[in-house]
Amino acid sequence: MMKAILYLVEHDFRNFFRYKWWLVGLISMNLADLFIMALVYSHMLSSSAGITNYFTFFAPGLAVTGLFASAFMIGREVNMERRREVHHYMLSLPMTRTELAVGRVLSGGLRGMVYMSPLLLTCFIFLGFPTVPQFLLILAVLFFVALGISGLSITMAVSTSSLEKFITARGLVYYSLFFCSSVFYPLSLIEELGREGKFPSVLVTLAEINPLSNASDMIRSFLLPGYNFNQSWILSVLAFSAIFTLSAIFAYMRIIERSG
Amino acid sequence: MVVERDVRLFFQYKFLIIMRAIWFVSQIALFGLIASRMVNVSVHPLAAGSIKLEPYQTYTFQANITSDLNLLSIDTSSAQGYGNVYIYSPNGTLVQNGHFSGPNNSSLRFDFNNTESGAWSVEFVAVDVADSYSFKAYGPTDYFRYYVGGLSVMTLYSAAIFIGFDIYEEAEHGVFEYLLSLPVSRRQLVLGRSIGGGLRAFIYVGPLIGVSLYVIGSLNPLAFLVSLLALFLFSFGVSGMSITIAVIIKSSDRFDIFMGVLDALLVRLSTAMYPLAVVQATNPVYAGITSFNPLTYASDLFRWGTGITSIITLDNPFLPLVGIIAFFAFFTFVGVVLYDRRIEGGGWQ
Repeated sequence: MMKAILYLVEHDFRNFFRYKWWLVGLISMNLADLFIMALVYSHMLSSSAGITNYFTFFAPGLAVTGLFASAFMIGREVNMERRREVHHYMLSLPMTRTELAVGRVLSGGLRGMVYMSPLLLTCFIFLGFPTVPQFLLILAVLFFVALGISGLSITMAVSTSSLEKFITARGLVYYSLFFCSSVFYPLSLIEELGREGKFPSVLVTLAEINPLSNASDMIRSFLLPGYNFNQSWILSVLAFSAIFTLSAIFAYMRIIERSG
Repeated sequence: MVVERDVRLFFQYKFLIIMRAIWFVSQIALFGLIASRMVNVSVHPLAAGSIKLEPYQTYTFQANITSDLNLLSIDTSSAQGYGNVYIYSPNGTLVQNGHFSGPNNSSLRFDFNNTESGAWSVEFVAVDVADSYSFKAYGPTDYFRYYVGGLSVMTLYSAAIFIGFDIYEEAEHGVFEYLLSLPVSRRQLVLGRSIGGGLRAFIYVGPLIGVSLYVIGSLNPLAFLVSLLALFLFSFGVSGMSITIAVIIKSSDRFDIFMGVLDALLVRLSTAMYPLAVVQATNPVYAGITSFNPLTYASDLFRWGTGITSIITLDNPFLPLVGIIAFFAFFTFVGVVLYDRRIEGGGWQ
């Protein structure tokens, strides 16, 4: 089973690195966000925001956004394969449907981890390195986040028949998860807006259980003072990962068989 | 005809239109709203003062604040010694205080919310060395409205840039030969493409600008017309720039990366997201680039046109207007010349 999955992972990694220029562009944008935008925002922070340095606050969030964007890319490929009926070729491969589905989800997650690693290293260089157990926990949590995102992206990709629908769904999910999280601003601000009735409570809850919030805050709790580690973040990430990994596997197997 | 073709072509990219619209709305409803709670922009001065104090001397500034006080910034960059700052409200209550220790602590800032109007007192106490001190008091600024104004210009920029990707599509599918066979000159073709690229971006962003105006909630009609004209020229200029870069690079991969990096730098080193005074405080090199960025000119003019004057540092709208005209003229001219010379001969990757 592992051999077939590894072949798929290799196939998807080759595809991933075909977009090397695109990836370089994306990393440049991420770094511009950190070294320009975050530095400027540091000079505009309100004392009520609870942040003294936006650069150090944003660096962990940036690694998580990089992970999110790159792990999400697998969905676009799967959607394209579905529309171009590449699944006929996929079905002819000497592997089971389960191996095929697991392999796609896993490769999406691993690609996210590879892309994110220079951003995480940048974060460590400027914020300081965590202890070995903390580092291993960060990697494990980020891997599960990446798996969940990859699963979410594949679930959406196989559930939408046209590119327009996929792009619309992707845009909605992408930006809701991105901006409704503690990646760019502290969770306390979103909760405060919710208490004042300026932000719907459903979005406040989304921000609280958002895996991007949980992963960013976990890294902050290890590297920055004033952030306390919360075990519920891990449970939340595991639940997200399990739900969307299984959804993607079932949806992918169902659609590929139906189409075949 | 060329313009009409480009406009029609653009609206076939439904996914791009959908994605940009979702991005725009989520930027306003989520990022803009929450980030405006996080930041406190200090560029709208209410009062200021400076003094040189002898050791152990005390001096109290009286700042007559007629509207809401939002922030007090204390500059102690020339101070070599130690000292304290005490801030008293008009009714004599000590509201905030701070301690500074020489040049390592070059500024202190105190944020306020819903303060009372009247004579505020800012008391400086120098401890051991004769130094110069200054303070500035700032009024509240609405970052949300500021951000929404910049967002419209960012969206216009990213829509106008798309014409360069069309050129690669045409090269890949052999449409160039068809275009060259049309009964129009090369110059008409590239001028039409530049205008078409700008116009379609403007048509697309029009409703989004409408949303921005609704959110911003104010308008100076004459200034707005001028700013609209500036946005037109900006849009054509960006299209011309995209065409120019596309025909120089002739490789879709390299174009993709180049435009990605350019986009990252142009947007972030502009006043689309933050005021120039803050960029200046962050890094003078960043501020130097920001000052000569067409996105800065377009953002400032749009905000000026919509009446958001409390936060921008636009003393004279004529200068950014000249900057935009120069940007438009340069890239339209260069685009015409380069497109004319390089459209034939292949080499497209």
